[in-house]
Amino acid sequence: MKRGDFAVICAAALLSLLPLLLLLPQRGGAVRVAVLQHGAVIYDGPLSEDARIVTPEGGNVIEIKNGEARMLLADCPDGLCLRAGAAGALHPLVCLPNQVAVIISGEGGDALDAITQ
Amino acid sequence: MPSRSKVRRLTLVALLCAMALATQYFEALLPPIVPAIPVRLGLANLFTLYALLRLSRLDALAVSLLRCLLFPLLSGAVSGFFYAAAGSLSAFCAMALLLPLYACGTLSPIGLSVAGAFFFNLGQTLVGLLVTGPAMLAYFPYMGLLSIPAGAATGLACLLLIRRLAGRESSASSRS
Repeated sequence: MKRGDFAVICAAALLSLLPLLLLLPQRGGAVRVAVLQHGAVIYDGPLSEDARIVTPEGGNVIEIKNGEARMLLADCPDGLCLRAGAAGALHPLVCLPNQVAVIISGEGGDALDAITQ
Repeated sequence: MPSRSKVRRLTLVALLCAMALATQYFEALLPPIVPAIPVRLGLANLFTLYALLRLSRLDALAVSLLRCLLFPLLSGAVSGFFYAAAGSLSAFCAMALLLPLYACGTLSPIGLSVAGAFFFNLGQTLVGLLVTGPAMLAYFPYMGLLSIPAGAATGLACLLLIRRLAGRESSASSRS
């Protein structure tokens, strides 16, 4: 082993870890939330940004607050969306009677690939 | 009639290539060190390195390229060709560029081999990025770090080989 060998090994190790530095900072603002009604996107923004979205028909109000997207008001007969809690990457918030969907996408906290319930 | 030294050189390159192919074939029968990550010991690169250190850059390139071309024919794994070719060329360029450092004693075959192994994986990853997209980049830290011990082992083997053969080669050339 010569002096230059250590230099090569250190350089290789550092360069190998370089992609981690490039990939990690992305995590923050990359989580996005999209609200769709009848298949058309009516809102699209980062999850970190607070917002209150009222559907054009006035049947649903979605609130994005503190990094969570929840259904605030809904005029549907069953109200399942009101009790569903926050939308997540694996379980979008759906109000089926009004055809409203709140979808989370991008790098997120969910480490799971799928959930069965 | 080609000169004796040219014939000798041609035979050596062919022999090294054949040994590299056989080595790679047997190594391919083993599972990878870490499942799902396509990093192997790469012992076949030992022969490319040997050619680089004892013959010329051109001979080493010949060994490397011939191995890339012939191995898919030998093993049937044709789809890996572009990755291996890109990796081999990158590795060759890195090692050929670092060769002066070996000549002046700063590097040993181990360092050269680690650089070669690292650039081999870099070349593979770059092709992977073009083909599959940015997802390949996630593999790179593992591939890069694993290439260090793999390259070191191959480099050490080459070092031992050179030491063993040094005496015999000089006596053989003095005879011809």
